Amino acid sequence: MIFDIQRFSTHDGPGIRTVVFFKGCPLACAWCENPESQSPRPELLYTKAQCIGCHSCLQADNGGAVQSDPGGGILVDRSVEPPASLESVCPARALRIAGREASVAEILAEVRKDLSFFATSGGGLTLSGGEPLAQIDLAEELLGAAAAEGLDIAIETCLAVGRKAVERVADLPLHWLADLKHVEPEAFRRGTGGEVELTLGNLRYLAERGVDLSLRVPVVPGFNDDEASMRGILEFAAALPRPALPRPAAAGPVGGTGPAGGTGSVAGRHLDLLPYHDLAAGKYAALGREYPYPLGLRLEAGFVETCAELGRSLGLDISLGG
Amino acid sequence: MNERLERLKDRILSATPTLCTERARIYTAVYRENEALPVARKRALALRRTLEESSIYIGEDELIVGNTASRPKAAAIFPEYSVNWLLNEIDGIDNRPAESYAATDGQKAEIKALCAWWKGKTLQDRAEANFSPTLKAINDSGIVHAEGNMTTGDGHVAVNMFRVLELGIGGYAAYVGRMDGALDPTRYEDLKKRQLYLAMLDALAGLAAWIRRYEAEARRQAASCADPARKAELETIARSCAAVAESPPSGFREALQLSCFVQLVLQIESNGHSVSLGRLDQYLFPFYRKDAEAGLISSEAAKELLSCAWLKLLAVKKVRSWSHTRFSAGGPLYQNVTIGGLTRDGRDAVNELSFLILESVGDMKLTQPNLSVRYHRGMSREFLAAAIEVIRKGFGMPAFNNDEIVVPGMLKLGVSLEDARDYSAIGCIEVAVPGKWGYRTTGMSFLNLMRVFLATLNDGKDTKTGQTFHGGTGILESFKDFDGLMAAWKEQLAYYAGASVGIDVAVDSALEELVPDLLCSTFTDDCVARGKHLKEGGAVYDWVSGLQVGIANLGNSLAAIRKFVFDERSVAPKELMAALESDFAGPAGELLRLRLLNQAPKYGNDEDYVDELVVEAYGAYVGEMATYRNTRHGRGPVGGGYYPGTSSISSNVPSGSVVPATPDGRKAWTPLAEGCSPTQGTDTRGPTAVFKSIAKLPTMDIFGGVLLNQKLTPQMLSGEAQRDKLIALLRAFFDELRGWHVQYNIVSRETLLDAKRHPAKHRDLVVRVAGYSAYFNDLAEETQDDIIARTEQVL
Ligand code: SF4
Repeated sequence: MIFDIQRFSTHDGPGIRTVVFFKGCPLACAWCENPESQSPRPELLYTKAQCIGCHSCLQADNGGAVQSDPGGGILVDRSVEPPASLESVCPARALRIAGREASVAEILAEVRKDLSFFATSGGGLTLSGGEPLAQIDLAEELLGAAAAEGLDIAIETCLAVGRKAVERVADLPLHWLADLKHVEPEAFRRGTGGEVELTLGNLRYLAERGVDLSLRVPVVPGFNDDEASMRGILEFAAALPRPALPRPAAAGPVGGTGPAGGTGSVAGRHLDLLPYHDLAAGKYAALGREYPYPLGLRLEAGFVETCAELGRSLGLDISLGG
Repeated sequence: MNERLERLKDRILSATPTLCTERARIYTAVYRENEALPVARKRALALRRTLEESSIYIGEDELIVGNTASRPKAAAIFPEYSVNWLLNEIDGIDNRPAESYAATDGQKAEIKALCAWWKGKTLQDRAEANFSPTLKAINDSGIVHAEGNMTTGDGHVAVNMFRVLELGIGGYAAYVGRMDGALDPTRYEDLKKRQLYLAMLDALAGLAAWIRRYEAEARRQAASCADPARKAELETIARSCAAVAESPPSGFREALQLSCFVQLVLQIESNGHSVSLGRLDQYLFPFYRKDAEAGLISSEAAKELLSCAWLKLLAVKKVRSWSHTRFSAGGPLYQNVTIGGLTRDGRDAVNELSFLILESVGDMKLTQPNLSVRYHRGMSREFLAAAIEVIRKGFGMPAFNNDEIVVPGMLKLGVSLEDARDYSAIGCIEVAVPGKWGYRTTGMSFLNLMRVFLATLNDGKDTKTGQTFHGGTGILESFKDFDGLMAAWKEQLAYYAGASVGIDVAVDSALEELVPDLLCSTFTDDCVARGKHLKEGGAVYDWVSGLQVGIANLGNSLAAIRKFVFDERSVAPKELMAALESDFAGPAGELLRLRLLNQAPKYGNDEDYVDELVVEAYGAYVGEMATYRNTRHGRGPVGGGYYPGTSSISSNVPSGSVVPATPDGRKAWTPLAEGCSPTQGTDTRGPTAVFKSIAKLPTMDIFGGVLLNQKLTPQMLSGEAQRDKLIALLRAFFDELRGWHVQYNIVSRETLLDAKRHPAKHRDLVVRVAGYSAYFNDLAEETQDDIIARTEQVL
């Protein structure tokens, strides 16, 4: 199940990319900026501010997902799965369904639309989510088919999945963009609900195999924005093995002349620091959920830059904000 | 920018626009004194006397000299084109919502007195006399808007500056003299040619005299100048002027000075805008290289001189009627400079001067010149990166034209390969071979597609004025299927295409008879050789296009009707028509409007359902125009035809202001979509999808230009990796998708909102208004809102 396909993404791997967002995630980070990605089921997003109270959705076949709100607008029944047709019923774009089944053929047809742009930029397809490896069958088939037709492929993953899933795609010519949120088991559990060892083990495994691996570290206030946490993260990253294996050549699209290829450059392992923001609060409201993270938290000025300095001193190739 | 340039820039930006009556006074006197002369000779004499007698000045700090009116930012008056609007508007000219001109009571009185003599004798009077009653009614209705052409002339031209620099003014005079000497006085045609040659010689003599006056003025100022540095500068100015008054230039500075004189004098001679400099980096480069090799000029000095030239362009003003002003927001002259592209023999034409021009335009951040970069496949990353550095500054320049489509497009028209490679942008995005192409490669006449579309739904009745110009095609309810609607559209469109050409022919013949231009003709091949001025068919090539406004609205309206009325049958034709008539009144109306707006596919998202409708509906116009001929057909030029064009300038706002509600969910009187860009706010799938949608159009045949405006946030250009992605985006659009043109606004929405609230804080905020740049503060509020509303592409 996917919830979006976004063309012209420029922060998700080399070049201009089309990102396919998988729905469902084994973690539940309190600050998640794509809350609609977490559940593996279709969800209804309702933006009350756009609702004009026309009741078109109440009159349509809605499977009981929406009811009249005596206070104006509508009430969403979250226990009921919304029919896919409901989104197109609303004239005001107040309703959106996140989550639909899509075939590999369907997805690739959409991805191919930007082949010209991939060719000149060295871009291609990126799987993101949610967690693409949580739907390993779809992920493997999609990546395999894409690679077979010469598309450059990348994956954004939290790696909080069993080794088996990782192994199934590890031989593909992938750019891996893997999350590294924390290295302390307790803090990781508190923030994400998951077991850090799973992620760290997968990271070591991938690093040892010499795949094109770059790391993404969300810097989140109250979670890892202290010196000790960040030092642990950066040291872990710097210590990941970098065998001098030839990286599997990315099957670049024909005529690719742009800045293609390796994010894991010889300059040092690439690590991207992503400062936290709370722009996703509106999406939580649309899902009928409380924003689970305290609003208004800010990173201390200069903290991210200090971390960047530290990372560089450890030999990492640091960038900020994608 | 050095201190001199800062001072010069500040002086011009803070100058108040004024009116200058000198030209009008002299032209009126010469016309009155010489009623017996053929019009070409009257005009030449009037120009000559203006150049000999009107005020000239050399301002403090200036290194390049020349002026079109008595002060910087003064607008000359051109009474021979039109006086009706001037008489109506002169009293309030200093009090307009935008583009006001300070005028004293004395000036107003003088203008009224001069205009009184011209009443009934102007270009506009003649053009209107040429109209049939129907054409007059169509023109008055606003379905076709040809006012600019009738009140201010053609413009949209670039002369053969290569040749000007090669021959010099004296060389041209000798050439005309030789042609004149070979005439046979017993032949009628030769008598006509003789009049033209005499007029050309007068105009050339005027130009030489004008340049001599600057020489004298520079010497006069130098003589009394106490500052030795400035004294030396003035002496250099005097020497440069003396050097080019008759002879061809020998160095970079003289060549640039002569190019400026020619550029300015063309705008004294005639009033049409978009007089363009053509390929400046090509014709000045030999001079630059020679001087640089001899150690006579540094790149910094060259940039300073170029910047001084840009300031000269900025000082030119054109006063337009209020209704025409709204079609050209920001009061621009669209003086284009084109750099890059291919050489005549097909190599990459980028040279050191291309970089200097680019950088100096970027340093100055002015609204003039309008800078265009000709992109081609072999363009270096280095030059594209330099162009993007300038784009980053956020004043909308440079725009890109694409050789990969323009050159083959020109070949298809019948232009020679070498000439095709030598094209330049004219004005905003339109193109021509400089020095070989007739007036008005595009522009000045607008066809309002959405008025025609609403008439199509109403059996030919124009819903704004209630008039039926071409009935009998049926109402929406009567169409059995969507094809029926499309057929009716094509019939209506064909009718109005014919009407717009009819108006064009009426205006063109008036232009030919009443306002021939002598210098512009002299400097455009092959006018002298043929003994014909431009409007008689003197140019080597001559195609024109009007502009069609509302392309995205047309496609989106068709898609909405197809979906709701014909495919789903969920909206009854009557219901739709009633909603349009009431401007979607009431809750039911608003509900229907939102459905039309949000539930039907929109052009600009790479969706074939709607994109193909745009292709078919607008493509019909492309085919239709190919069947018409302009007034120069068969009289000399290659071509003599029409092609479509979409560089709608800011006309999408006033064009929308005369269109009732439309089936794409657009409220009555609000702006239409501009150029070939998607409707504001409806392109939700990012720039690649927009490019793909545009690329489905027959862009090679829309030779008046396929305008695409995109707004980018500054963040997208932070960092080299992001910039490379923009370069890759451009390359894909141009190499693979054969895009025609694109330009970028790099400003944040917040900046624009703030600029609207606090204009003083953003005095130098420049935005790209559909094909050219203007100061945001100069725009009317509705145009400001329109720009703010445009989709912001987040890179
Ligand atoms: S259809 Fe949309 S606008 Fe109408 S009531 Fe439902 S959510 Fe609100």
